[in-house]
Amino acid sequence: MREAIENILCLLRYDPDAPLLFSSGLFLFLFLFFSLGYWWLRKTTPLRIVYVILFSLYFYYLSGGYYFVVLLFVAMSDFTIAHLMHRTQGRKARKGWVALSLVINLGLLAYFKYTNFLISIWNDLSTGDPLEFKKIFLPVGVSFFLFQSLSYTIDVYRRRIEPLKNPLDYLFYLSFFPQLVAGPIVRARDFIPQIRQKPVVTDQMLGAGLFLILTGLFKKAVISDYISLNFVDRIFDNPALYSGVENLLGVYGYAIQIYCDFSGYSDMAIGLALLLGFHFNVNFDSPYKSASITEFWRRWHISLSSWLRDYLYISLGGNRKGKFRTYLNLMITMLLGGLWHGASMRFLIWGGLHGAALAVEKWFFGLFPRVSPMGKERSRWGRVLGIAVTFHIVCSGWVLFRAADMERCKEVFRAIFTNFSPGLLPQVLSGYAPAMGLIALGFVLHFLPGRSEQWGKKMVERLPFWGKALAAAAVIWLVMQVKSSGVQPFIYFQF
Amino acid sequence: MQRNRLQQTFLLTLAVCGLLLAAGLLPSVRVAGITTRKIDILSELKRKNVYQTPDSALPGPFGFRVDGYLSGFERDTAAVKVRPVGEPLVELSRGAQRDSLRLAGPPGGTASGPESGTASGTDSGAAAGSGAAATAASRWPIVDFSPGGDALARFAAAIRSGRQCRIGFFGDSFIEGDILVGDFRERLKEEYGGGGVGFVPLSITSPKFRQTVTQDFSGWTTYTLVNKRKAPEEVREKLTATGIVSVAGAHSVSNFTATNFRGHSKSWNHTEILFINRGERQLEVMVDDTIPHSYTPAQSEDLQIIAIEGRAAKLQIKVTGEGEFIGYGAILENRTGIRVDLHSLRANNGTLGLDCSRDADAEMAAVLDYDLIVLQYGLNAVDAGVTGYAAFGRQLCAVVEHFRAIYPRADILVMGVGDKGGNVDGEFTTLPEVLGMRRAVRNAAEQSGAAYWDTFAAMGGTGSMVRYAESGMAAKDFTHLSYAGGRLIGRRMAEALILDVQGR
Repeated sequence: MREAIENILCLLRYDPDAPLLFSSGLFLFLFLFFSLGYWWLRKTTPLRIVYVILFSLYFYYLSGGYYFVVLLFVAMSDFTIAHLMHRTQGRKARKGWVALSLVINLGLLAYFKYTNFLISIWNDLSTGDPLEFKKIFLPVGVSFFLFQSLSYTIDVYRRRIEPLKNPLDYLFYLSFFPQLVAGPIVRARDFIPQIRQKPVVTDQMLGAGLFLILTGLFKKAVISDYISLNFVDRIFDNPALYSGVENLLGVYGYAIQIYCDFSGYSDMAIGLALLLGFHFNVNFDSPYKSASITEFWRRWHISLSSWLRDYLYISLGGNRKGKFRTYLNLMITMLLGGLWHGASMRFLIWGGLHGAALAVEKWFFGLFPRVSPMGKERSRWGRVLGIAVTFHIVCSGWVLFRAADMERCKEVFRAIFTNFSPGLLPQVLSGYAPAMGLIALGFVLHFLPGRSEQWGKKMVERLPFWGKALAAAAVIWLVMQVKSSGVQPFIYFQF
Repeated sequence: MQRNRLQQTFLLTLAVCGLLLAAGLLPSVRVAGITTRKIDILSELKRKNVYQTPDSALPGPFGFRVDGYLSGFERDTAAVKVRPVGEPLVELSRGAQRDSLRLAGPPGGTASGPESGTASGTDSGAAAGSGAAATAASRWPIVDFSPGGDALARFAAAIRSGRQCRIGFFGDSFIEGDILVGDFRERLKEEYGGGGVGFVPLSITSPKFRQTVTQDFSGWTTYTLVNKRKAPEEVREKLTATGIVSVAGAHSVSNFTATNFRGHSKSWNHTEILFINRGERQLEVMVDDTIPHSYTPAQSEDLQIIAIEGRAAKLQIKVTGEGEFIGYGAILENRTGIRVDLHSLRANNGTLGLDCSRDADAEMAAVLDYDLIVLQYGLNAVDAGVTGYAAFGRQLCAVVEHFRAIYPRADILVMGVGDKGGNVDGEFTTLPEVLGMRRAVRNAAEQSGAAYWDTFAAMGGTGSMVRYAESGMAAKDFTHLSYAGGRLIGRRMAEALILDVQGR
């Protein structure tokens, strides 16, 4: 008994090796107790707000340790800055306040995320003694909540929203646990009006929320985690050990893995928010259906791409300062977008690839205005061709994204282009049948028509209470089966 | 006005918890070849965290982070870079220390009981070594199972003789690409001198994988002990324990370039090319972009060698003409110090070389003339659900005897199996089957009277491969080391060997 209590106390403390995830068993139990209190406090708004904030901070603590103090600091500083900015009438002074917010938020991001990247650049360029790398832990979700907070101060600066009066409301907005650690990046003007409303969950919200949680869980914990562990990681660990066909399948596998991983987590976040009476915007809209890179960025991580458009691209001048500046602004936006994803030259090149593709498309679609960047506005074959080309450009970028270093990027491309060995395909497909099956399933589900998702939500909505509960239990049971399945052995196809 | 179903959020969660608790009572069933596992929703609440990694930058046990989309960056942070290779794992390996202490006998003496064997890595031996390396070597000593305690006596004598000393390192994909062996070689060269990477086949399956020498080739057909059935009879009979032959086409080329990936391998001063020429063939050999030299070897069934003196960092071999030409490889090495040849062949469990032609093996052995042969086999023979490997142990004894017959002047060192991880009831740790194989390999070394080194213990014992994989020191198949992991183990092994030689 004493050991059981010790174990539970141990579980309720932050463990860097087992950070809390929506897909972990512990979260299910924590959410059980949280949802009881949330329902109980539904009519007492101030108490409910404090209750949600405390749970969110505790959730953050279990996910990322004591770095929730960074979150508290950012919340307090941007709340104060927004207030002071609102009171200030002078244009220059207002600019000063928003600049301060930018310096604080981007300074924190730079410190936590880019210090060692800058040191490595310095060491590469300098001829003197190399600087020592710092051991800096990146607070979980810092890239998300800092951008979220910036959207608030910039919107106040642009007079799009009024600043909040109560600091607790702002902390609630910034720390709301469903989107806290992995997005979506929720805009202040979308979320703030919902904070003090009485939480209402309709049948539609319940059905849609449960559907999104279960499909998200399936995408993340079944498809993404399984193919990552049993196929994709091995290819990217040692690309030179594998034939071109295995490398290509590894790249396709990673394309669906990263989509299922990230969109799955986003879906769970959106679904959880719906079950608590909050609406988030869609964050992924079947991105591999895109017929151009322009369309891709309207479907992939929409909350980030729209953030970059509204707060970076437009601030740089957008398309208002001539063609050359438009292309340059696109490039700068995507380069910085690449750096947001990771502090490494590979991410910078990844951003550059997308920036260049966007600039070329801007030029191309300007030259041929009858060709639309949107697949739905093209002929069937024009769309198919566009999807195939776009998918492979995106996949080329994913190699940069996933490979541990540039050398391994080269090895992946070298294997694909110089040692393809298509004859091995049947062996690879049968040898890694479960992983290949899940990759195929991921793509099939992804390419289903958009109305199938609506149909799924409707079906869950129509289920009786115990039907919903059984469906949820069945998916979680499946996740647990996959999690405890054996690791697929390494298979040799080349001799 | 729609009804507010907020309470259903709680009630649904409660119902799901209840259903999952009930599902935990269901037995395992087998459906369509898949056995379902009993689930326990409370298992997380019952189990303490078993992953005691001290470095918070290391990924979690299931390989993903909360910030999954951004996980790419995590690998680039200095939190990983600044950690000296291997050091935290040394600290982690309490299990390894315990294991090695069991294996080690009393100083200078012979241990008794089931772990018997003369352990020459002793405290006194450690004193002779330098600092941490020697201490590490004494933790994972080489165990001498020979009746007279002389399992490595000939190797030690060869080292002391001052002539070039040669080691043949035979194994499977665990050492492919010079992983572990490159570091073993580097450390020995630091101690005993030498330069170069030793024997390199003219063509291999994954030429770009090896980092200690870059090689590319064209025009060769590669046959190995694994696919020997595909080889024509006249080629098959020339396969030797080294495992690989390259049959030349009308115009075949092999290029080798030294790298500074590991120390003492940036150049070599003596080149040998090993082949059989049954046809009318010409070789054009270019060293370091100088003027190519042409050779017209005699038509013969015998193994021939072209030897070239002089410092080199690049080598190109072109084979033209008609008729059968079987290339073995090139030796890129100094004539002094120590030479370590890598003979790795993925999917080979050691037994594939048993039925090679004795004549071909003898010819090759006369050229390679090893003083020590290291045998790294076993992991390939680990089968799911099988924990007893006595039969494999007997096969390994036969492999040891086979090598003794081919290389009568060489000592034999059996390298124990490393750790292999997997998902055991939802927890990533050492597969129980590996422990059975570890025993079998050790018993085979003991029965053969060979020297033995316990890789499993040196890696850190139970669960070590999972920790290696999570910290980038092994692949995610939880079986193969990466270069970083190989560096740790290769150097530990070399330290153990140096310490053993010092003690003789």
